[in-house]
Amino acid sequence: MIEFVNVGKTFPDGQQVLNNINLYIERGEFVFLVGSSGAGKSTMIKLILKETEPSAGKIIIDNKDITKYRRRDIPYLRRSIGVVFQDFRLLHEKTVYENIAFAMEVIEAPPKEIRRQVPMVLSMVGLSKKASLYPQQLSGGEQQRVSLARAMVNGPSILIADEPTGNLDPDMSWDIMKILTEINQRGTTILMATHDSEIVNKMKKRVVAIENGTISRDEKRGGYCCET
Amino acid sequence: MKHIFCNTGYFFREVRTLFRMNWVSNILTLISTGLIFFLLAMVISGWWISDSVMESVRGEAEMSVYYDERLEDDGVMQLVERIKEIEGVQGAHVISADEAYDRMVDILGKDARVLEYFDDNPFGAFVEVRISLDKVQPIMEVLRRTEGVADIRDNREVLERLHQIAEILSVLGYLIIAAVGISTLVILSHIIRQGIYHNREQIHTLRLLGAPEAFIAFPFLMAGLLLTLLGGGVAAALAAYTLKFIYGQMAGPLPFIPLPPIGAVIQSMATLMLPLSAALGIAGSLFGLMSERRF
Repeated sequence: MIEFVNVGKTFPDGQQVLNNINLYIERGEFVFLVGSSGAGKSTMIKLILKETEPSAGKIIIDNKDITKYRRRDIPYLRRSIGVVFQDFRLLHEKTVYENIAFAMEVIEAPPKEIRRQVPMVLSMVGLSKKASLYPQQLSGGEQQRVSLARAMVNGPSILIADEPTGNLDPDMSWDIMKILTEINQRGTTILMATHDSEIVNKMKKRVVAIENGTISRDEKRGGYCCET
Repeated sequence: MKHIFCNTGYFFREVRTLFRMNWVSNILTLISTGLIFFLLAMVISGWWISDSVMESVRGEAEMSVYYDERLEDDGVMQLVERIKEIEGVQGAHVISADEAYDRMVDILGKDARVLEYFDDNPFGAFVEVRISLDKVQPIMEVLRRTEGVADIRDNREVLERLHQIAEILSVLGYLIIAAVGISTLVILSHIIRQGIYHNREQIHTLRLLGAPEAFIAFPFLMAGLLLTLLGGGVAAALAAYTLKFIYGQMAGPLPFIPLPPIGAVIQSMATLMLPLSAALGIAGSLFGLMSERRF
């Protein structure tokens, strides 16, 4: 599903953020990506989304080496990957419904399909009654649920979550984790970068730890720290 | 852009948001492009009008040949026949002093009262000679040598002046077209870049959601097109009003100037301005988008 083969990334100023990363994530897996700030987690996510290019190695997604993709192919790659951000990145001048519909509009989905799909994902994240509200009228947890609905509305096979609970209180964080688990159980591969040790420890999922640009630990049912 | 027409509603909503987010700059852009296009519309209309006037005057190229007052009627008739035989002369006939007076009354209109101050008719009889404009010089030379000819007057000076005005207007026209093109491109690309800057977060999110570049660019292209089309429309309306005013002002004191019909001028000007403003709008937006491509 997602494979990093000898991937390295060095910034133009010479700083090496990733060094010889080898990682294989199977279809339908739930993987936590942990590590201190600056360890290289965000760079790995950026590489998967092709926001940046590796300096060495190759990245394979769905049996395709995305390092060989041309510029015009990038949108098609990103359509197969849902993304959730720590800061939600919702559009404040659009309602909840419009924010989700927007994700379908950008991939030029027909309006009929949008009218069918958006209420379905809104129901999945429990926000059917808040479709006409604006993001600023919602709590942080609700905003993150909108962000999740937006990421899932096009039915991606992979969901990347970059610190999705970073701005939420523990209760809201668990709401989000519950939805992510449901999404994963439906077959979506999830790669979640996080600093939330409690969530990682309780979820008992695969944990990949990054330290100084290399994989320091890869455990099937791991915890936030190796001692856990 | 397979379903581009399905998403027209989305594009219009985005354009509305772009206008709303930056409405002061957009209104100023609309006013400035409107005024720039107005200048262009006026110069182009002036260009057409002067060309048309010159063509009309060219078609009526003629000379007034004043003959020796001592000539008898027979002598005058013989002179007219000799003039008709000159190469390049298309026709010649005698205009009596009374006819010359009546013509001037027609030309002066209400101001013809000034002629009442003369005790006698101040105009003399002459031979009106219609000529080919390109044969003016040889005809003049033959006429000067012709017996019985006292004086020759032609409208070459008027034609030359008109020709100079038309040339100045055409040079001015080209300069203004270049200036309008460049300033529209600069103003529009600036407003598009400003729109891109204000929407950079949204554009980044759009890219991560898998939006093609063309889809992201389309609302900006539409915004630029709408701004210039509106500017072109405002300019055409202003220019039509101004032309009507100028025609109205010229009709009284200068009725003898053969102006082309105002309806035709306004129609041609509007027909040119709208596609031209649309083309400049698209070009300006593309220029702005290209300069911010890797935002």
